[in-house]
Amino acid sequence: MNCDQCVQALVDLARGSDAADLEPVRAHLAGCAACGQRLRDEQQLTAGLRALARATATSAPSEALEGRLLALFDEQVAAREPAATAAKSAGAWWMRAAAVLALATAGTVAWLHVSAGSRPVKEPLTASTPVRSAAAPRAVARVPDVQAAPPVRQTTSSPAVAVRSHRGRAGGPAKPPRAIVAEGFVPLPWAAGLPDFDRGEIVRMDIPLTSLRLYGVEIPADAWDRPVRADMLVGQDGQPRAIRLVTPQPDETTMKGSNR
Amino acid sequence: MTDRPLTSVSDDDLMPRIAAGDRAAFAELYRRRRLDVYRFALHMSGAPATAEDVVQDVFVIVMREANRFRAGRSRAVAWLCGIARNCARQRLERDRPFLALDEDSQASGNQRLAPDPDPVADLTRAEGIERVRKAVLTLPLHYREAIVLCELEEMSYAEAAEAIGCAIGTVRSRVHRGRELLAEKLISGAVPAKAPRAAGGRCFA
Repeated sequence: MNCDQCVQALVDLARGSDAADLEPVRAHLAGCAACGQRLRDEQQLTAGLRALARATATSAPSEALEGRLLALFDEQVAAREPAATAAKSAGAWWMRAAAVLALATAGTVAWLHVSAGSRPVKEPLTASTPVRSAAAPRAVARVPDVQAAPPVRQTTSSPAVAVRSHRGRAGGPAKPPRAIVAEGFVPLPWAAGLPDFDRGEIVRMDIPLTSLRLYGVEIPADAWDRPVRADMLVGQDGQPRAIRLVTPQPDETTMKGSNR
Repeated sequence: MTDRPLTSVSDDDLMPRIAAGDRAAFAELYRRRRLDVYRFALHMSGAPATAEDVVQDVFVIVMREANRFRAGRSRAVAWLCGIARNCARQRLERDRPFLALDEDSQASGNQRLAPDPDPVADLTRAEGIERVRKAVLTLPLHYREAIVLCELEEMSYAEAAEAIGCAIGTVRSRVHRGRELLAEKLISGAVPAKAPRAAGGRCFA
């Protein structure tokens, strides 16, 4: 080892490193007065830095700072709790409402389907599938993509319903089938006996809030003016398979559908 | 959550408690780490008031963002030092236009200490310590960070790399270069009798 190679290692040696790879450095130092002097300088510098560290070891912020920070912490927790409680309460209400809504809406759709003797227009669900309103003839906003749907309360952790589109884009080359996973739907109880879901559509409909009360759901007084909107997942045979509640609350989680 | 006394709970395990709103956990972390953060900020800024502001900034961030701490990715103390580093840089940058040059320095211009025959002979006495402190404050910011973390806070290169957010080799080379600069300043007497307070990104060398 020569002096140039030794220089970098001297710092580590001066800092107290006892790494085995420093042995050649120690051997070089035994016969090199210049490097020995440099090591002593580095050791002096290390001693000075450690003395500085010791001199400031007792430096501390003021005692008052802890009190100020704890007061801030209390404020922050207090500000967080009402929001969390409100969200929890709203969540519980919407969970109950969603369950009853699933029953009510599916029953209504089934009844309409049987009594009218007609089947809903089949429209494969694609990334550009518009959302049709079954209950209201007024125009509703297009939902360009499942992921871009309005905020939706996820009401279940059941497996996502896979929807496959087999339709290519008109005027252009056909795209490969695209699977869209739409989550947050509550399977309808009687959908279990239906043929496997192959393709379908999401029909968005407005449900009278008062209809929920008929099924025993307590509606908070401040919720009467809230829109109650639901997405019905209708299969290739026109039969509803699942439902999810769509809430306009801005603090709700966004729909967790994903394109695969 | 366990019933263990908080004093036996690791820093890393305090973090989720803080995120959940546990006041005692926050107080425990503060009492454990306030000195580390304060000293780091003090060595970086040279100003007790700035250091205290940095401590406040750091722990306000902790109370708001403890849920972002990932125990497997870094240690709490390195995470805290990383926050302290950012806060100190912001403070130094913010305060820079308002920092007055030390009166003595203004009066004497770039006065240098008379070269000492053996300037690094005893840096452990009070005067020597003061010279080292001033020399550290005149280092460029990235060398100063490395020196403060590794030499004054006695972190390993790996811990400092976590705090700074760079490679271990980068920390090592900054420590080496920082030490070279310190030695040059101390040997040449380039440290003013009263060093100006540290400023973000400004090299007084």
